[in-house]
Amino acid sequence: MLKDIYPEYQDSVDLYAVNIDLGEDLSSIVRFRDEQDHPWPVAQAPAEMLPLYNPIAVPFKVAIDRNGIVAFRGKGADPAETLHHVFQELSQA
Amino acid sequence: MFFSTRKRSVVLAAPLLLFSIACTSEVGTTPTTVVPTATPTSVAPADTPTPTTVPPTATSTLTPTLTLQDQLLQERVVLQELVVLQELVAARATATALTPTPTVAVPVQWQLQPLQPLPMNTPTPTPMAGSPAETGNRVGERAPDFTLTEISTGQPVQLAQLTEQGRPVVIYFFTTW
Repeated sequence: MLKDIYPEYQDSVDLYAVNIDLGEDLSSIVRFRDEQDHPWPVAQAPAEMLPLYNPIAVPFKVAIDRNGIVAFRGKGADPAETLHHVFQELSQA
Repeated sequence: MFFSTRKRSVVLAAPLLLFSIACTSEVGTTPTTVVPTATPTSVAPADTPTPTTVPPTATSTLTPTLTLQDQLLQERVVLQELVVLQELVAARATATALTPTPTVAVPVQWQLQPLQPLPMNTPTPTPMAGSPAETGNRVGERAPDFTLTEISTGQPVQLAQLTEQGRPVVIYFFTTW
């Protein structure tokens, strides 16, 4: 799970959880984060961001390397192996 | 659309074909029983075999009164019906092909995108220094800029700033339901 892998890389990679339900109020997002014990920073998606990134499923991950280039797009729950690979590539590149 | 039309015509043609085979085989076998001919295995002492003594077979009992001419005529009618049906099927196929498909405008954010290969399977495209990559959300493209407001701190976070600082970023899109 992403939650298990995140602590290993949180110093070298900035992860932001973005809620894509534009009608959601902030309090329920915070409640969800607390219930799920999510360790990462959380934000509401700006409306203009969604068509730009086109998340076709939830959860959906987009990795952007240190040059600002899209390095990975993953939908659903990626296997830990894939997540490790992505985070390693990001922190090394 | 082409495939479905073909499929439909095959479905229509299949029983017709079976029917025609059944007809031709029946007609093809009956003349030997109806038309009296001298068979080489015949051991009858008479010079000409008698035309009236034709042993009844399974086929002849089915169509006992049909003459060869009748049967040929019947076969011809069946063939003509087949031709007409085939023309109908062809005409229908042409009509279907000519009917324009209604186009529905799909919003950009709903359009499916081709799956991106995993980076472990394909070499990650590393753009040369100085060559600006095209902006887009596919692997290898320059990620579109955005500004988020982190809920707990209320601080704005801009991708362009993070990139300037050389920070890699992972965006994790989620819903609370």
